[in-house]
Amino acid sequence: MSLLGSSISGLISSQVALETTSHNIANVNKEGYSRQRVELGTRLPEYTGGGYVGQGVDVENITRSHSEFLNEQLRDSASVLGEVKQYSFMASQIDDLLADPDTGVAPALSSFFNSVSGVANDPSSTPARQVMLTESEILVQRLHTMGERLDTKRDQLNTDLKVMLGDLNSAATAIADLNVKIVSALGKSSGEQQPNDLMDERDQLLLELSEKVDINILQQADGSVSVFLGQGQAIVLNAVGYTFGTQASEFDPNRLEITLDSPNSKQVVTSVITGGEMAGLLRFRDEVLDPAQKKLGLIAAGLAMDFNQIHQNGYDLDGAAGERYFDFGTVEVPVLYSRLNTGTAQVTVTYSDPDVDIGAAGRLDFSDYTLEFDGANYSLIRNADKSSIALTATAVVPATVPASATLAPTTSPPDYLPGIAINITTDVGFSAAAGDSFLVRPSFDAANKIDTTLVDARKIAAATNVEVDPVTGQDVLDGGGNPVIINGPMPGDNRNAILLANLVNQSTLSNGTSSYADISSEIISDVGTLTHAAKVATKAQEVLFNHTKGEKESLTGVNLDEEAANLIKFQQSYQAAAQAISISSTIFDALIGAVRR
Amino acid sequence: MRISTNWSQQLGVIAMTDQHSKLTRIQEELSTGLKVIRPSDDPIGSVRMADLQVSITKTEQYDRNINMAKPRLEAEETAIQGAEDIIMRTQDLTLQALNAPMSTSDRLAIKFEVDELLQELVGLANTRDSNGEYIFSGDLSDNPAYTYNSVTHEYDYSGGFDQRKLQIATDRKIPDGDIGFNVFSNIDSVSQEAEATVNGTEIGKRSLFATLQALAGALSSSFKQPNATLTGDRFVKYGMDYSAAGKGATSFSLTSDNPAAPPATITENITLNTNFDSLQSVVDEINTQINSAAPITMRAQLNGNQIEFVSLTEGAQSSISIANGGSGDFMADFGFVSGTNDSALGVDVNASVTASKQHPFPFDYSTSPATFDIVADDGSFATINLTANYNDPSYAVNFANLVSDIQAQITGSAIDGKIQLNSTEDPLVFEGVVPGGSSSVQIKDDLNQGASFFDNVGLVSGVLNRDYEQVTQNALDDLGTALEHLVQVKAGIGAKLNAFDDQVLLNEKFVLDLKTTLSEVKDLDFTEAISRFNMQQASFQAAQQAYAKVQGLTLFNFI
Repeated sequence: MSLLGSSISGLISSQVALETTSHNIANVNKEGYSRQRVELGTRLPEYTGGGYVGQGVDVENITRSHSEFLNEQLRDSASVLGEVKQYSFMASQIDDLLADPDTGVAPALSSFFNSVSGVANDPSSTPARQVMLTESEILVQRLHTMGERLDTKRDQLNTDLKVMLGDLNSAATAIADLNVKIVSALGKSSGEQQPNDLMDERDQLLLELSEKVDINILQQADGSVSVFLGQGQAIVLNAVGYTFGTQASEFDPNRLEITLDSPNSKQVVTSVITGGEMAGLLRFRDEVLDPAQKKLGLIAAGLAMDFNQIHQNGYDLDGAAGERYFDFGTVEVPVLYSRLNTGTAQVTVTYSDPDVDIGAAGRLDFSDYTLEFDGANYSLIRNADKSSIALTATAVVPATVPASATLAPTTSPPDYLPGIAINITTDVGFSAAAGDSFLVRPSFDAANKIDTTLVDARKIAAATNVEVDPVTGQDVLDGGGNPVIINGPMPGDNRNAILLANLVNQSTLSNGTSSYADISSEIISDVGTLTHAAKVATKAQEVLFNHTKGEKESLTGVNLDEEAANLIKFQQSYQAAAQAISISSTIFDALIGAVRR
Repeated sequence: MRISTNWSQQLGVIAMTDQHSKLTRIQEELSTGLKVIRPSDDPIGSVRMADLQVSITKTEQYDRNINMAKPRLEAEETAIQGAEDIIMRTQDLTLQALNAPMSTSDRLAIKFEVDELLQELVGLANTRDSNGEYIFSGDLSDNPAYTYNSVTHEYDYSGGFDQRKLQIATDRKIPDGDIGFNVFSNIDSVSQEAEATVNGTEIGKRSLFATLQALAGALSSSFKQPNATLTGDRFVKYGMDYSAAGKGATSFSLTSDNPAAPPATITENITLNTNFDSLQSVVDEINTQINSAAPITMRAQLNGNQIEFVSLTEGAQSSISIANGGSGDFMADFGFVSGTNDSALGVDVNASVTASKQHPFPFDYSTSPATFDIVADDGSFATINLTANYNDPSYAVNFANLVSDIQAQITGSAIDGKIQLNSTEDPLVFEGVVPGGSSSVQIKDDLNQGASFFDNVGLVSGVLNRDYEQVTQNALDDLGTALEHLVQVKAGIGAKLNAFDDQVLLNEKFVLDLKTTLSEVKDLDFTEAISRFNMQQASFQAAQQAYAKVQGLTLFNFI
């Protein structure tokens, strides 16, 4: 009987092996599939007088070729690659934006200042003045366009974040579900046999998760896995998947913070997201987008301050004092109030007047500032490095309604405000409470808000109207040593226009170290360098990732040639087993025949 | 090593994608001709490109500035060349007028030409450029540089006092011309009429226009004795606000000589307390206050965009001074210094008209009498009628008779005590009795009935008086000075034009250098790029072929 029995066992095991092989072949293109193989065990032999007689074979297990070590390595690599790839992808878009010479700020600045030179050449010519107005309009438009494109990137980034969080959440839920299935599947086989395809699916989900965000994984004894963010915030805990969400940051509704929501708490986790595409997005926002936009704003604000100062000190074609040339609308510097504020104070921030605050444009900073009130004192904190300036409030005289105070550095010098003037209401019903804070953004959206206020070409103040001694060519001074101003139109006077045109050569920004073109170059070099670095890093990480993936594939991937060979092998063993059955029939027939006779 | 079918396929795809992206990059380089397309391709190079581009546009703008300035300077050069021609022609005419004794009509003919030359000079000084700007008016370029002052009958500089400068290099500014004041007015003069004083300091300057006017005046026997004059040195074209809302009231006092009772003086206290919107309104108000009380001995007047005070007295008696009235800013605003005064230059002379011939008697006026007028400064005159025949053999008798006949007709006439005939001089000398500004002698032959007498003694009708020669000689000297002055101005223009040419060359060289560097940074080396393209193409094709071949290999083909 054992002949038939062992033949059938061979037949069955060959069939299972063929099934597994065809399962492998079928899944050859399934991402994350690990090839499976049948593990056979020889049946216990039967003891006879002549020794132990083999009883055939049993299928003991179907295992998948996999290595948890390689999986771990692949996930790490995927996290790093995801981050640099996303960063590089976003940065390249800014890079492309800056690459177009027709949209750059520097050429528009050059053309604008050339047109100012044109007015200096021919101050009484209305066409030259008109050209200057048009060129300033073009410059303003250029700044707006750049600012708006950066804003578009910010919107895109917010959308991407939300989509990504959706993916993360569904992956977390799916992993939790798989945990349940795997635990129960393992339970069925008392942990002896693994549900290979479910395990593959979970590994694949974990890999996808780690592409988005850097995760730590804890394998549980019951076969489930728990997934944590960098500092131990759980995303999946056994059978429970937590969901990510977003909320507006404390000050800025357009800046999203990432939260991890558990049934009884909502935790902001933006700062602990370290790897993966999500970190790439956040790092892009902090390293590329915000600095570019703020530096762009710095150009706009600095230009407006310097240009307005000189322009307002000059005189127009009709002998009237110059007006403001550039403007930022009714709210010059945006102030964002913390959601947590309990006070009712209203804070107004304007760019300071360089005539009063000498060198103010040079102190303009691309960093944001936080104004804080501790109940007794105000302080201004530079967000970039958390350095703080103590402020003293001085009531505005004559009193305003409601009463307000200007805030100026307590020790000045060495402390100066960063090119801004701060005013806060102090009246009853309009006062700050202890712990209130306000975000002041001097440069953030200045590029989007700058505008030209002048519409009449005659109002361009090209003249200084300073009286000059015709023989010596020196300025005439009054008793106080100040230049004597001629009280009427001086159409041929181009001295103020020359001062204005010279601004392009002067390093008025960054404490007198950078010109407008320098800052514009700085944006290009910052973005260029970061993008370049990101591209190089992406290439390097791709190589690393592919290497790891190759290793994993070499272990777990399906090789069709191998499977074809296996097919032949198992087919042959199947045929052989079938042949053995046929032989056992022949033997049986021989036996019957012998008996019949 | 074992390799999975899926991975082997992916490796092929990765290789092809990689080769394809490299090929696309070279294609992009070839189609744009640039090797730096995005800042990330070469961050440092991109910044350099931006900086170079800024430098190039800036330098090109400097070239444009120069191109703006050049035509203006050339126009100025032409105008000054014209002025030089005028001066030289005037010099010829003056020499002519100084030399031979000339008849009134000859002199008048010269005067008319001088007048024409003056007008031509005014036209040149008021030259406009293509934009309609007066090139000699400095920063007041919509005002003519020189305007005729109907009160003083002079040409005043009414342009601005600052010359526009243009930026022609980063640290180099060059004036695009000269202001008319420095070209035509600020010229040294030896004349008594030279612009009197600025704040009490004698400047000894006379404008070219004043020189021509003096010359024309002398030729037409019209002379001007200098008045004491105080000129403010402030530009006050647009008036001042002395109302309570403005600077507040101001007061000052003017003191002039009193011609009626020298050496007594007359002092006028002036208070200004309204808003004056022009210099003219200030002058009008001051004159109103001066004229409110007799005697009127002084006057405020405009000199272009400056204010000046003159004594109405002419000659050495003339004096004027100004003192702060204790309140307000008038002195500072208009450029006067309290306590300064001015007395007119000029030596008081007796006017005289001297005949040019000794008399070749006999003269016979018995058949056709000679009639002419002797006119004094105030217009009073005596008509002299000669009817005798001076044919005595003795020359002395004839001369004495002639003198006594004329003197007899002067005595008792309207000019008695004002003009006398010197009885001893030969040729005849008619001279003023009282020296000073009002001393004037004029011999006129309006009816052309004294021609024979004028011819006999060598007089010219209509001509007078005291210092024709001196005025003309001064004018000649001043013209010489002016010519030198203009030559200097022209040399200055030439120097500027040269500086422009040098700067243009320098700028062009600089731009060329910059563009070369820029091209090195950004432009593609096509030869190198095309060879790279070909290589890359080959690699790409190899990757594709390898893929196709490898993917065709499977054991299934054999079972």
